[in-house]
Amino acid sequence: MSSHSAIRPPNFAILVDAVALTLNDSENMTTLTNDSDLEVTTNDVAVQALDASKCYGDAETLVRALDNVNIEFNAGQFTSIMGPSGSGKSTLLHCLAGLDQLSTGHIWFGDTDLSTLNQQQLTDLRRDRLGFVFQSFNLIPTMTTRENIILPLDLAGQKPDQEWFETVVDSVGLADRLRHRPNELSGGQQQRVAVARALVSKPDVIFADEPTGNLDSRTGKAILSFLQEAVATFGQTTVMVTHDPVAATYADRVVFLKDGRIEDELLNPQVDHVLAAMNRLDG
Amino acid sequence: MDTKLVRHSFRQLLSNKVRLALTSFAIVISVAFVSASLTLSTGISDVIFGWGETQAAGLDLVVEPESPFAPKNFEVSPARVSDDTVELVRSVDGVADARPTLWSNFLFRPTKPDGELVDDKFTVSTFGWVEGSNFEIVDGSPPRSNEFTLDIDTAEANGYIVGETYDMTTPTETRAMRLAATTQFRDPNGTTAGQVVQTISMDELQTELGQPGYVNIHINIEKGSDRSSVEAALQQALPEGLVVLTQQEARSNLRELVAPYAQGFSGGLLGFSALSLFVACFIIYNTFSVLMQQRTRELGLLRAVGASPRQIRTSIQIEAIVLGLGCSIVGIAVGLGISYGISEMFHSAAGFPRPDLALTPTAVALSLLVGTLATLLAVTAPARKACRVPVVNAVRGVQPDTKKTPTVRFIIGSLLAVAGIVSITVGLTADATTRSTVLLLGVGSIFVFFGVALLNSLWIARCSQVLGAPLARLTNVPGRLARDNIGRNRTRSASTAASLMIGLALVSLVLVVGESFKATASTGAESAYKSDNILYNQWDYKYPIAVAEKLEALPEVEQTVAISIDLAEIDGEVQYLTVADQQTASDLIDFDVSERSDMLEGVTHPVIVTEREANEKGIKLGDELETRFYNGTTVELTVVGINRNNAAGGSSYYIDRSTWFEQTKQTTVDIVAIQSAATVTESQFETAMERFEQANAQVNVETIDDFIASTERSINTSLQTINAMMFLAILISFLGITNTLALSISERTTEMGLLRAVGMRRKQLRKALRYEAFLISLFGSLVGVVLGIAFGVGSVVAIPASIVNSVQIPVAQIVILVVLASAASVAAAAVPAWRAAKRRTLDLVNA
Repeated sequence: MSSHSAIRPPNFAILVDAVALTLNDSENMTTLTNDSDLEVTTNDVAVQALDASKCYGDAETLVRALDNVNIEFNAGQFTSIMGPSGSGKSTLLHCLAGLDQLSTGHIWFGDTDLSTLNQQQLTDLRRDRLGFVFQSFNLIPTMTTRENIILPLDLAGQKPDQEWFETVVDSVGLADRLRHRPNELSGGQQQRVAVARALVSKPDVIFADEPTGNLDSRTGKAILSFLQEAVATFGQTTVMVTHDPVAATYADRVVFLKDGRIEDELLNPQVDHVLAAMNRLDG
Repeated sequence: MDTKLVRHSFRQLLSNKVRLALTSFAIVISVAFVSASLTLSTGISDVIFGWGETQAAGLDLVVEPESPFAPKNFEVSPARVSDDTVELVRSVDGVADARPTLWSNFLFRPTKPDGELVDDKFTVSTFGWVEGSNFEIVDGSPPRSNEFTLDIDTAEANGYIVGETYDMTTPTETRAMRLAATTQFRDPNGTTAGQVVQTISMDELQTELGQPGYVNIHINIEKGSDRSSVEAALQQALPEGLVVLTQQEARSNLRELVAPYAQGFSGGLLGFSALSLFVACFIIYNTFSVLMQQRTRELGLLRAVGASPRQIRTSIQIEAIVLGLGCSIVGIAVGLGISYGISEMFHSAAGFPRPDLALTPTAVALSLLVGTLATLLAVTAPARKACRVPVVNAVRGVQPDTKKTPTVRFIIGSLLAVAGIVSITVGLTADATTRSTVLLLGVGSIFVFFGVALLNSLWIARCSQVLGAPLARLTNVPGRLARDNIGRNRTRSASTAASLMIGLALVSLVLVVGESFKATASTGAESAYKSDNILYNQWDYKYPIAVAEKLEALPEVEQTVAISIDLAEIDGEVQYLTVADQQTASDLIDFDVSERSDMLEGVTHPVIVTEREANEKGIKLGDELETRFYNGTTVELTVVGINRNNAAGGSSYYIDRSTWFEQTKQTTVDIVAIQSAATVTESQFETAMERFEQANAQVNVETIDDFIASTERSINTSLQTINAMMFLAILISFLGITNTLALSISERTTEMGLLRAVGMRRKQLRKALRYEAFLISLFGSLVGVVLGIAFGVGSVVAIPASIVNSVQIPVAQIVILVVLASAASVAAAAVPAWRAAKRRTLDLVNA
């Protein structure tokens, strides 16, 4: 642990549920169950929210988008965040990703407290250590597939690692589309370019905000499988917000939010468990 | 429904104050200049015409000599009416009073009590005193010998005292004259038009002009007699060559005489306002195109719930009309301010009188109409386009495909450009009146500009790839984004560039023509004279030949040659003509007469023609040229030489002074070439010339080099004035850049959010936007400069070689122009770029 650990309060609730996930094959994943007595691993925490609160409006119209949220996301883990509309799931994602600022509390990104960073440092952090996949409008229309993929590296003035670039491009199956522009690609291909872009800088965490929201279910599944594979193959820490129970099950872990609080959590989720959990939230 | 739609579209318009302000500003400024031009030209015409009216006031008939055309300097007013004629007119039945008139604008300039010249910028008119004229004495008595009177305004403003003696300068000396009286016009509406108006005794004026006689005769008829019968009687009694004019005719003749000055002035101003309006139209068009695109979905919704395309179009048009009207009203008010500013500028720079500036109903109506129509015109295409989108696409927010019709654009653009070039060519080459030439040129260049603006959209994407390549290499993402974004809406980028293109095209046109003019003038002056110095009048008026004689009498001066430049009708065409003594002229003027006829001895009216003119007109040695002078006399000039130095003499025809004097009785000169005596040193000569200038306050003696420098300075001043006006159009086009960029940014909000989210720094984003503006303006500037140079070279070629004969392209100035325009465009982009980069990433992402 780093020197920060001394001032970082332990978060036992999360520690209990933390799981080691070295998912090298899908077989292994499907055998995992939702038991609470899973082994606690020594995996590093990639990103962590501590007493995170986010409020909007003034005293009378106060809305608590996040209400004292404590959560850790371990390195190499694929986490889904679910919850009804207005539950604060997007706010949580935005705050974790340094796009939005907490009212109180801290986001630790590895060893870095995001609240201590200025705008430019946050921008550089997003560029160098984060990957993004949005629901729509993921690509710059004037850039080719290749240019879109290496955009964060270009912005940093770095040359892509050619071998890694090819690995990523091959794995998303876009090798023959590198010179195309977004309007020449299908919706699914566009999202795959977005994922490739998120992967290419070898970020600490990929944040995906409803990445399949605009896709038909088959294309959506392909993207999710691909994300899942990225986690499995490259050990890529991934946090995804979704409202689709099926999509959520591609993750190793599902976190349920309601009214800005974490209400529930499932490991190695199955669709029926997720649906049941959602029903409990609604109830 | 309609009113609701209109109200709705207004809310939209008002929702973005910055956008509204930029668009409005473009309309306001253009209309302001239209209204300022109209107000100023009315005011200034009133001043100029008022002077003519004042002179024609209170008389019934005028007798004056016939003139086939006006002499070069009408202020010289050659006196061609004799005392006998005055007596003859007085003897005609029904004539109550006949007053000969004589005036000069150049002979006398009094000094003020403080010793300075009374008005070193504007005209001093000197009249010979006649009893019963339209002058009346306020205080004092009529001027006798060595006395003068002054108009009461000048006298009061400068503290003259009646009875005191003041220094009066003439071209040949400074003498002491007593102020005999102050005067005013009998006509209560009489105006001095800002001039200093003085009278001296008729004898003295005639002596100074070096010729007896008068300009014309003002006649009042006896009470009760019939004007037309008196007119007929006069006509009968008078010898040939004299005409009788009614007051009406005299007035309209005077008007005609001064009209070119008033027209030239208001025409120039109106031209500039048309230019700024033209540029503003591009901006209004752009704004509404983007507004319509942004509102595609909303307009689709309105149509889905039942609004017809016509209703929507009408609501947009009403919006444009109200915007146009509102801005025009503000523009008229601003225009009044501008016209005060300009008239103050003229007053302080050139001593031009401050005109009465009042908004005429015509000016108001015209400004409102022009501003509103221009706005309406500019929104027509965007409004139609918005309504043509299928409802389904509109509701889904699918943008109309702007890349669909490149061939149509190409065809229309090429046709317009070709039509424009044809019109310009015809205008430049065909023998037409000034008015139709200007019209052909104006319409032609508007066609070319529109054509090229349309064609620009075809190649702006490719050009910006090339222009932006170094930027992309240097700055990577920002440079690439800037370069590629230009191609995204090529029509919009092209029309943004077009407004700058027009401004820079005109400025570089002016620069090319001006520079060529300068080069012609200086090489002309350089190669024209063999003498080391020349003398000329600083107000560009003619002066008595006595000045040259006085100079030649100085021991420091070896020789002088007096040159007059005037007009004559040669072979049916009014031409410039140089007058000098053919025996001595070639001593100091660098004539290069290749063939000289040995007939010179026997020829009474010789003429030497420049080689260029001889080749052009097919004139050969020994030809007889039928020549008519402004007073109507006609002679046959015999060609005795062909002069190969086209610059020598200042015109294509060069005649002997004896011929000129015989025909016109005029002895005034424009320029005197002076050769210093070999026996004196340079400084001795300079001292002598300084002394001469002091004694003859109205003339300048300069070395040839200084003369060239001062000629260039005066050309530069006019260039600067013209370009200062052009600057307005360019300013408007920078507003266009700001506007377009702001609008493009608002379309790309989400995209910018993405860029920021994946790690683009604020600085990088600002850079990308600034570079985009830079590339658009670089493209516009370059196309504009190329067009301007082409127009400029074309004009120089088309202007007769006797006026401009060398094509000069001021490369350095044009490069500076492009650099400045690019720098300004970056500044224009600063605000929208800053506003965009300032926004929080999350807001952009969620937009």
